[in-house]
Amino acid sequence: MRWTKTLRLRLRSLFLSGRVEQELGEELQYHLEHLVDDFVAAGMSPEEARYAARREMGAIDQSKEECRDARGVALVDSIRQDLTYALRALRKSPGFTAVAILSLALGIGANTAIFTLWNGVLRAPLSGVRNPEELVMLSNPGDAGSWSGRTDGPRSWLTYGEFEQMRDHVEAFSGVMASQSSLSTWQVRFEDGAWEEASGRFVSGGFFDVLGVGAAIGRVFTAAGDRTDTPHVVISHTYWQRRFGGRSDVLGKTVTIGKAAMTIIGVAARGFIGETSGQQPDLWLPLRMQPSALPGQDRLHDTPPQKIMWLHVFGRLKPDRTPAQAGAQANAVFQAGLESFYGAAASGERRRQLLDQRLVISPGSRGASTTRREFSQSLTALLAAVGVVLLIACANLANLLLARGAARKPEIALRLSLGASRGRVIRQLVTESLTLAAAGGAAAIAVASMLHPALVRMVATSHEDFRMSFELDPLVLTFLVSATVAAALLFGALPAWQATKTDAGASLREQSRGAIGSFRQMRSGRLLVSLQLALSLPLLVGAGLLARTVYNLQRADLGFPAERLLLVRVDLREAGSETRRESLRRELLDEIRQIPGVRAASFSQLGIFSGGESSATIEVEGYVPKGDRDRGSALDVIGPGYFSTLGVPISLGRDILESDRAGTPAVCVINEAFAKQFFNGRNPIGMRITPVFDDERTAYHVVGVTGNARTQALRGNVGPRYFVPAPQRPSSATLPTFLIRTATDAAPAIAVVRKTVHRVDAALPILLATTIEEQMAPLTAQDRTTAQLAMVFGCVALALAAIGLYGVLSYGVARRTGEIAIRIALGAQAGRVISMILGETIGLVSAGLLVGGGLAYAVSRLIDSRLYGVAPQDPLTLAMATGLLLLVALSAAFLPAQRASRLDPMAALRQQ
Amino acid sequence: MSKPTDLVQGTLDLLILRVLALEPMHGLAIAQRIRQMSREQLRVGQSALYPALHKLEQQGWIEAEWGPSENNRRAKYYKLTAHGRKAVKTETAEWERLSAAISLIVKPI
Repeated sequence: MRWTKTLRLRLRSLFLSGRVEQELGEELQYHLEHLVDDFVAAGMSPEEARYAARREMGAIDQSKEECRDARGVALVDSIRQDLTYALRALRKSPGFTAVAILSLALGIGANTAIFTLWNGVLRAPLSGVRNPEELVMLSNPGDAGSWSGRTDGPRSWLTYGEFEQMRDHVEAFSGVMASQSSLSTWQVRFEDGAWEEASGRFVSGGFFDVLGVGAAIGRVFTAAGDRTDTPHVVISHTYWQRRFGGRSDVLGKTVTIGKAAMTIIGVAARGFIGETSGQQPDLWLPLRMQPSALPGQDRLHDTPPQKIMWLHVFGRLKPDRTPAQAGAQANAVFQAGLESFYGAAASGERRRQLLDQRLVISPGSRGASTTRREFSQSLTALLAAVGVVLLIACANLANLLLARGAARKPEIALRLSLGASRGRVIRQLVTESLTLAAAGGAAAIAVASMLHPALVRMVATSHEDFRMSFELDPLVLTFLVSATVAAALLFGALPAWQATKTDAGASLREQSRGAIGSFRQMRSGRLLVSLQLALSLPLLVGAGLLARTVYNLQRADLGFPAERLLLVRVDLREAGSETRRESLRRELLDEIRQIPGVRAASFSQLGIFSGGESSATIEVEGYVPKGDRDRGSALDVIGPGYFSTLGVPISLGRDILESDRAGTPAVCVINEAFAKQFFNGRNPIGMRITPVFDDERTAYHVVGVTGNARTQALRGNVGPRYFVPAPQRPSSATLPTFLIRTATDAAPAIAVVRKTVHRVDAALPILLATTIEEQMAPLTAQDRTTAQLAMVFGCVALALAAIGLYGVLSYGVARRTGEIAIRIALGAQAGRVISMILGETIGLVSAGLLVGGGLAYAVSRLIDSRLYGVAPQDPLTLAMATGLLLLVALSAAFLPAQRASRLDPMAALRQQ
Repeated sequence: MSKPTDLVQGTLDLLILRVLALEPMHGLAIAQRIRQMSREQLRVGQSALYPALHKLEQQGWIEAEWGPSENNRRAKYYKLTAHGRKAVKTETAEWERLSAAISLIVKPI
């Protein structure tokens, strides 16, 4: 077989290269000796014959090289050679090598770390899930209807009834599953052990089946779980390892969760964390068990028209179905469902509004994520920033290599004149760069794994349940390798090109005379420095904008003083009847107000910056809605003295009082945004506001108008909100957050308040007890970390650019010693020499600034939505960044300039 | 001494194959045979010969073995393989087609 023979030959050439080389030598030697014999036979003397034969043979080494090429393994072979040579060359200049590897390790490492996070948060498909690309997520992103849930971004939840419709009637799906959108922390107890905490969520029977996840041991839920109440629990693999040490006797154990006793039936397959990226639940419970685990709040049945939207719903497409087909089918089913759900509950215009809901089908391969939307911009911006830092580092290395190339010119010229082709020498130099980059890349893994926990903490500051480990998954590895190779080519190609771009003879001669070097080479260096400066500017501007954002956020005017305020949330859901809850709220408030040092206290159902929201569709007396968008308002249910406690000014009318009780006329207070939108100049006092969907249609009379207080979101405009007294909206203040204004620092009072609450009723769970400062810290944490990182990257970029500039100018001054010496000899003053060098610097810098300004403009648009209280094109920030850059550049230039001005012309010229 | 640049690219391979079709021989003999057969018109230097031989060996058209030479030294003898023999035919036909085409253009002047 021909190919086996050929393969054998190649392998022989590769692995028995010594033998092959020797044979080649012998073959050529034979040729030579035979020629000598022939010449001797023709009558020449042996010496003459030898000489003639040599001449006839020509360059033997060159043909050896060509034979190696012909054998096809020369490439592998010469790469090995290049590598050996590169290692030797790098060992010879340890300083250069260390600097290069270190800066590459930092650059590539930072990139890899941020890419890992970016990949994990934004890109990675759900782990452990079969064919994730077949999954789609169903959401209802409109705002029609009356509903409850969180409000960060478009709502992505469905009700239990809607899930059932999707599961049973959409033909395009091979399966549909639902899971509780928020991860809950449960009080759990195994057998007779102590109470402990575990995180978990309710999921439908088909949850594991639809995701294609099996059990590591035991079994998982089946579709049957949606038909009957099965008190079963499946635990996650990590929880099994962590809590039970991976023992198999965990199966069959009884666990009490909330009010329900359940049995552990299985452990989910290793690596599976569920349908929400960044969250790692410990256990999963059947949805049908929700009412028994949490008695008193049945989320499986909705009372029209109030919908409880709380489920993430995913469908798996049949292989031959498109998302569009599934979407059409799902919406047909959904519409029919809405019609029968609202039934006769509404009519006419309101009915039309209610039915105006549409399901949206989106790709579900990456699962749901609470972090994705929030972090996508910051992470993308940071990724861009570290990318730029790496570019600048590469430019610096390129500059170093340019200088190194210039120093090695004689060596390279020698190799070229000895017959090495230019391509061959370039390959050699690029191999050196690749070797450097590979070392840097390897070190980068260590850097990335060190940076990773810090970055995860940054994400976790606002998401306590966010967990992610550092793993070199294929995509991250691909990124690392490509970043490394790209870096090597970026910093290695140009210097290699430059270093070999030479006429061998000229360079050898030039070397011996030490004349002024070619300006082309200088030009590349200068170009690189301009580029570095250009790239630094957007980083500095971005960092500046983010820093000002944080500054503004921390000093944002909330409309009330955000200090000396305690927030204590108490769970009254299981305290008994509404009458009992009402008396508990009163009693708690009375007791808290008695505590020494407490100035005032009140409560609100929503609390302050709790991340929750509630809204209602309303009718406002004398107001004709212009469209669908202006029928709703945020609302809160509050206790007496709410506004005076917070310190929100009342501009008209009065606060909610103790006397606003169940039997008295229903009242409400509105904020100025509400007044502006719905009354627009009319006197709101005495007007009626009627929530459309409450059980009883109560009309609330406006008794007061207050300032616009920021109680939920730091960013964006304060929208219309109305406030009703708790006793007048029954069953709405079940989780009141007590707001306690203290005379001095609030933190020490926490313990006293806890004790007071438990004195009133020892069984009341306290869900939160914290100061306003602590409550608000997570709101700016992400911005703060982003700004800090941007600052660090900006400074690193600036420092690198400054080093680059310094290097190029020093090198330029050294090369131009002769010229400068002549200028000085001809009478140029020191000041003139300095200004000449600084003038050149200004040229370089302004070219960089011009390009950088354009880049900065583009960058600032990228982070537009992260900014607060500062315009993306803020002139002050731009001016400060430019000024800083100019200052650093001139300082970097000053040393070489000064050195030039102090040249002793005679000494310098003699040296030449 | 250098490559016979006036040879059309690839013809050297054909010449080597033709010569080796006569009998197995070593490198120098191949060069000398080409010279003789072309009546001293074509001189192939070692710098072109050996890379061509190694390439042909890699292609599987010729194979080599060491054997005693006419002056009793060890020499590397090349001979055609079955593939090589087929290649001689196709390459010859190709060459004839090409040279005929060239002479069509060159002749009339």
